[in-house]
Amino acid sequence: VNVSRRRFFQGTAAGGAAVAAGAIGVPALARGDDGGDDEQLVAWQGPRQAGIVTPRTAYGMVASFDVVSDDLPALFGDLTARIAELTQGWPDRLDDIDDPNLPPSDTGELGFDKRNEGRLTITLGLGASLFDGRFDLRGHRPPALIQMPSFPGDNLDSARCHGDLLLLVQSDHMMVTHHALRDIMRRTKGRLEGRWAQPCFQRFEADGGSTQRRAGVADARGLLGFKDGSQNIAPTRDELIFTGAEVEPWARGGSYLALRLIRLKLERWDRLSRTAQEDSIGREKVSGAPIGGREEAEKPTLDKRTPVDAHIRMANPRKPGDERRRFLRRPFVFNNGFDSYGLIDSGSVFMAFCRDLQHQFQAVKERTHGQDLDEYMVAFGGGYFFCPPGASGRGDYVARRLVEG
Amino acid sequence: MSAKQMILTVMVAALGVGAAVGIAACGDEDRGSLEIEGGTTGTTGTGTSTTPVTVDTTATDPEALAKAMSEVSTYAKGQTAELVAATEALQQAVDAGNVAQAKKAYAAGRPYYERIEPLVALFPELDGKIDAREDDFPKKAEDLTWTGFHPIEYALWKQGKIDARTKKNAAGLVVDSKRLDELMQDAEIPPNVVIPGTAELVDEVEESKITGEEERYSKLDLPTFLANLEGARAFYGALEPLVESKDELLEEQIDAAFDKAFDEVNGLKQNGSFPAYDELSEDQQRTIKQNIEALAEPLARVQGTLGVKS
Repeated sequence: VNVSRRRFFQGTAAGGAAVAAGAIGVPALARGDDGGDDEQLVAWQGPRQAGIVTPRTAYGMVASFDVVSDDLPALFGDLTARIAELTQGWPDRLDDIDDPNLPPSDTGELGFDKRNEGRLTITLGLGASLFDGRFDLRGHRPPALIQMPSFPGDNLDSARCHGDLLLLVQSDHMMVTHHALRDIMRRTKGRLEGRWAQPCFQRFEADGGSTQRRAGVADARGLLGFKDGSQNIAPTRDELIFTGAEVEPWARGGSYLALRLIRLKLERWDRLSRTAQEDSIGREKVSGAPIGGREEAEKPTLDKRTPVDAHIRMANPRKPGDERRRFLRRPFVFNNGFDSYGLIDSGSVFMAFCRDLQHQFQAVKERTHGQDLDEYMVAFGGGYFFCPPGASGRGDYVARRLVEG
Repeated sequence: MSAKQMILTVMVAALGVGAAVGIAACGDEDRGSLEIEGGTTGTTGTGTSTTPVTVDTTATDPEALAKAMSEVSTYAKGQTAELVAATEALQQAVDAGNVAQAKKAYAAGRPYYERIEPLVALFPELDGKIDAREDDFPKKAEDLTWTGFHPIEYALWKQGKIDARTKKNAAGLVVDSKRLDELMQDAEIPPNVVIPGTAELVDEVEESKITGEEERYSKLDLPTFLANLEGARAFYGALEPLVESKDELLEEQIDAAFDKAFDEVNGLKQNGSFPAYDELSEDQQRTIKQNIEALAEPLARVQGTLGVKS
């Protein structure tokens, strides 16, 4: 049994009294146990994995791995256990510290005091390649999970695409986010092989980071300087976000993720006149109102003042049937310094959670082809993933019913 | 502060002037003039001149603008006429199955298109037919709906052969070039296409590095850059007197930046011809980028300076 797994179960036993009713495996230092700030811990267990519809955070890390172990039950069990520990306060961080002859169990960059800040969540996603026959899962691939295609205009780098397993780590501190990734990597050596990772960030305008959305109002801006996600769906729209009876029982209550790493040509964009920028998006830059409208939250009328190739028109022409194509966006932005040419290497980490990749994300992506905005962006990485339902009940872990067969 | 004043201020801030800059709306607001004390010219700055500079952003005299557009139109028609002749020569070489000759004809024809590419946006279906890259097609290079210059480039350089598809594409390219030439004869060339188009031509150069849109098989990137710059200078040349009358410093800055960019690109020639782009050192590539950006930034201010609406 792996170290983290052992601690996980010890923690459960020792901390049993402090565990919230009905939740298993919440380690001893879980929420509220000494009057700490409950809002800083996000419940990790339940029918949905955390990190999909929970409030957005200021930092993220998307990291893709290839699975190099045959023992998937142990891998997913250990991952879930460690996710529970990391997101609920790292109860074992002092273990082994006193023994000078052992490597410290916690790497230490977050200090050794009790921790409950950062709203850390870690979401697991499965890539189509996990179902390719290496693990005897071939018959169980969720039907919409395919390898992300290269769309017109993409310049995909195979070293930054796809993967068997995705970790979506989110928190309000880059150090917390990075620590979680580092911790999981060192505990899965020989079992997970890092493929690519992209750190990312975001700034919330409305309420300093708690990101409670108002309908029709984006809580953040993208690097183009426009409100990003004004007409995003509410995170309560389960019928558009989570799978149901159309998938195998193990996969019900999961969500497909279209993840696209998109480089933005910011130098060019920044030289466009404000009108040209607004025409490209279809919204006013400052207010976020649709062109010709009064306020951000109003429904775009898409009259002739909005160009035919404006983003908001092509993404959602608001015709019959378009409603069921919508999906939940959870965007971040990134910067990777300069490129080899000396241009700023920044862009979007586009994330769309949906119930069906082809009928929602892919249908919308295909119909936006030719939008003016395409001139200023190019996707270079990412992939399609399936985030299984959350773990709940004693002894459960994410994807258990898949990998135990 | 009115929205208009705010935009003007932002624009002036974009001049990249140093700390000692005073901005004051002067005279009657409708004239939209701004006085900048101690204005210097950013990237090609000339030091700490204290002469007040007047930037006049009122709309340019429509007649003067129309005259400039007619100059651009004449230039464009000259290029499309040459494009027709060049693509006919390419078709002949392709029909003769002569790969070496076809490569030469391809290289000779590209600049006529690249110089006026932004104006082809007036006829959107033609740009897709003539200059599309394989990335825009579901089946990429195998896609039979991919037409124009680049499948021919792919056949000649990547595959090193001419087949029925190449011949069909060469014939189609002549048809599309003739159609472009025809449409250009009567086309009204609007300033709000030409002015951003000038900047686009310059942007093309740095663009290619991000998207991989370079001349990926023929490696003719440098002649293409040169053609982009030549087109941009021709467009800008028609507007230059107007820019000068509104903002002398801007005119000087752009002119100097053009000179420097041309010197830099031409300086890469070896024995009269350009090396393949991937033979340039990283330093050389970065130098091109620096010069392009130094040109692109002031060019982005031309439209606002001339008071031309998007």
